[in-house]
Amino acid sequence: MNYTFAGKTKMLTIALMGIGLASIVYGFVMTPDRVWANLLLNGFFFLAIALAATFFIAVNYVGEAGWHSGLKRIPEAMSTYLPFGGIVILALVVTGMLGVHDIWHWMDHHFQETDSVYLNSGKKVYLTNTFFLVRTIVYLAGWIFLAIQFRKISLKEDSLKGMSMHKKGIVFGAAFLVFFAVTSSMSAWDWLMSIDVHWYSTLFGWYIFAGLFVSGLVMMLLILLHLKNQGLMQWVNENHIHDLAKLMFAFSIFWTYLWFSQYMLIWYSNIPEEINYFLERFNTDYRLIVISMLIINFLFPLLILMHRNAKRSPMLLSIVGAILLVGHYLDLFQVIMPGAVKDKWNIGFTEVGMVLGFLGLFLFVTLSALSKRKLLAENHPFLNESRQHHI
Amino acid sequence: MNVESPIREPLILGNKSYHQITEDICKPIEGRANKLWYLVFTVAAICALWGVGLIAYTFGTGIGVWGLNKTVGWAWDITNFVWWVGIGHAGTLISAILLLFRQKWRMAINRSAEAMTIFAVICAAMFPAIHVGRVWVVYWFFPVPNQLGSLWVNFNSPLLWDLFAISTYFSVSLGFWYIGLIPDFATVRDRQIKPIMKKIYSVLSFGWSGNVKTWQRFEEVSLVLAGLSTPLVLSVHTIVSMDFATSIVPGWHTTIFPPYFVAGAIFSGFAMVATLLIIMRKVLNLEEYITINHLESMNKIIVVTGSIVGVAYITELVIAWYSGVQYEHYAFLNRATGPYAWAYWIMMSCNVISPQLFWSRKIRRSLVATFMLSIVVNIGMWFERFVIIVTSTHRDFLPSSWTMFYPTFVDIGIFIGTLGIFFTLFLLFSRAFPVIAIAETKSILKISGDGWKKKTEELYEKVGESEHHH
Repeated sequence: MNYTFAGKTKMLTIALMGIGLASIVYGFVMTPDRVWANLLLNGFFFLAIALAATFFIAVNYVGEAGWHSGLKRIPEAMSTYLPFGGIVILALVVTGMLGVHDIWHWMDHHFQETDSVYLNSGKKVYLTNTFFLVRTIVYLAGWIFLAIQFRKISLKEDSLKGMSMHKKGIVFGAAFLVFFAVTSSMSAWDWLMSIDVHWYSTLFGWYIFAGLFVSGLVMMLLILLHLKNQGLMQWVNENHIHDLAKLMFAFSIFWTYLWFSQYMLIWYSNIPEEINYFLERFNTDYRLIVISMLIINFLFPLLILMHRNAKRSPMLLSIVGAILLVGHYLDLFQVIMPGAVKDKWNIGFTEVGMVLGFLGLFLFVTLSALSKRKLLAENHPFLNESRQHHI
Repeated sequence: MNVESPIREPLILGNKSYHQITEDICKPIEGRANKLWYLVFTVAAICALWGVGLIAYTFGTGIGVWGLNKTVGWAWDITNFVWWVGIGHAGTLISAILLLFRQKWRMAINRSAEAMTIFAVICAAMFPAIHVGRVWVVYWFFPVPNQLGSLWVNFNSPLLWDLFAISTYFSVSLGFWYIGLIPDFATVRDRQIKPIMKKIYSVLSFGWSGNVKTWQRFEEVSLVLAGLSTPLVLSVHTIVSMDFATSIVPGWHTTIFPPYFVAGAIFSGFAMVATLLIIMRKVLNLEEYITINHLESMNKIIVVTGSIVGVAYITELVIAWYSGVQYEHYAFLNRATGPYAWAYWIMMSCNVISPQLFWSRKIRRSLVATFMLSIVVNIGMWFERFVIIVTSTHRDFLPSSWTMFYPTFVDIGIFIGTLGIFFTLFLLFSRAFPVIAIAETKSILKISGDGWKKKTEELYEKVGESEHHH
């Protein structure tokens, strides 16, 4: 049975988008700086979720996994959001270059001519407006191109038995992994790390990747639970859910590991250029955000998802998943805001409205895409393994 | 998983039965060693003795017999330590993480990889112990009371964390490995004819009876140990990397070190497993259990981890350039173009460029190519540690202290000695222990054995045909 995107669910996503629009208008009137920063935050957050879905498809092709084949239409649908998220980032880069906002304050000509760190480092080559724009276009074009290929291959496989499409998927999967290995770090340096333009950390890209993958897995699981709640996807059983939850659990710990490695090494060495970044986050009101997101993203899944039964309970997983999404949103909040708006931050109607609006847009795009195809990739060569999955 | 797709390659060849598996794996223990084994064993044992002799010489004379100097106070000893610990990682990854990912191909290789882990950690642990020079006070490493009342360990030091990490790692790995061996020792015991050997294996197997309750406990313990080992895979090399990264030495202080050291460790560990298994499967006639398919899977892990290491190298270079910190700039410039540039380019070509050959399926499935590349990777990973350690220390903040490091025959000899100890232990293991996990391999026979896969396929076809008739 196919998924139909209509009725209450559709209305809800449209209503969410309406709230988002209202909050943007409201924000532009009251505090425009916060709107720009939140556009980057939400633009990146949901782009990251769509990217994580694409990464999930690629890694399972290359790893020749079988268990996931029954639910792979969900990440495929999520990947269709990539162009939408991409447009937001691209628009921000262009408006930044035009001087409309100063999230990336190194874009300012005065800064580029006078800042001594900028002038005495690779930044004067790497962080130039045109090069920045070109890189942004390359990342987005590459990801979107490959995500479209995965969708195409999967659709063709529906009417074509045999291994030919699957083998093509493996080739494109490997291509995506190679491209993503480089661009995931670089895009994180560009869009996020360069906000705090004097700061640098080699681990930063991997840390952002870990958060991205957790958020993507959570969203995938939540959409799956929504479909099952409607009586769809009966071939996906509690064992698949258990596997997704295990990945969620493991990558939450992995995210913590990377956050801690980055923090601890900088704290321990206490070099002024590096430690400033954490002083801005720990010795200010941002402390509240940092500590809450650490509790949510680490302690919370560690304690709750440890037990086997928890990882197989749809009810509990929906709650944990929703809270984890908030946690990773807050993680990006404390990455972006201290550099972008300094102490003029708040969590008010602008912030809450915009995240709801973007969530509405993301769900609208994803669920529309989901409704246009069969929910089961019938000719996936490993489908039988997924159908009889039991752990 | 109950069902395996027919398009997956079989993991056990030769249409084996349960009994045949027991026969094949127990054969090396029950038979006599051939001449080749004695030859290799003699060479390994001589190397080991040479190393032990030089360690004794170091104790007798002092650390001055090594090539260290005032500026380079850490060189071969720590390079070898990190290299050996890294090699150990593959065993833990195979036994714990591949278990969690339900990779059935691990069954053929986990036993010998875990043995390798233990022997590698033994070799690694020797270096911190001998580098103190006065080995009789080596217990000062530990937080235990000693005769110098005020002398206490520094809990802020990553070197102490390392001590805890390595000893925990060693204990858990040994426990995991030994518990897996118990049912297999029982199998060997039941087949022994000589009373002394029967007695020995009987003790080793802890009186294993093989009833349902013992199996159930066995599986529970295995799962708990797998859960404990998984964070250990990450933590051990993370803490090894912190020995360097917590400092403010240019080239050492970089936040990517923890995950990148872990990836490098798995990379070198898999290369060593490949080297050992390619020889072992031939010498012990286990080609039907450790197949080309197994080697291909390991080669895929080698190309992935090698590429992760490559991305980390490039990240370090780019961020050193991006940050504009002149010390970092210089550290990397010196690595790539300074007096140790030869070592840097050996590292780059062995670790980043050569594993890319494994993108070709033909090379991944070639025994000769895999064997050669596995050795290349191990050379590259030794040089990686050498480059990180020596190039960062030999050019001090004070140019007047700049110097070079040249190893003496003692440095080289002790390293060769650890290779000798490692191979001696591994050769003894291959004669006395079941080198493939018998019970675990049997558990996948009916899913992944070639004979059973064929039968299942025929059954599917029959069902398909009868449906067609209706």
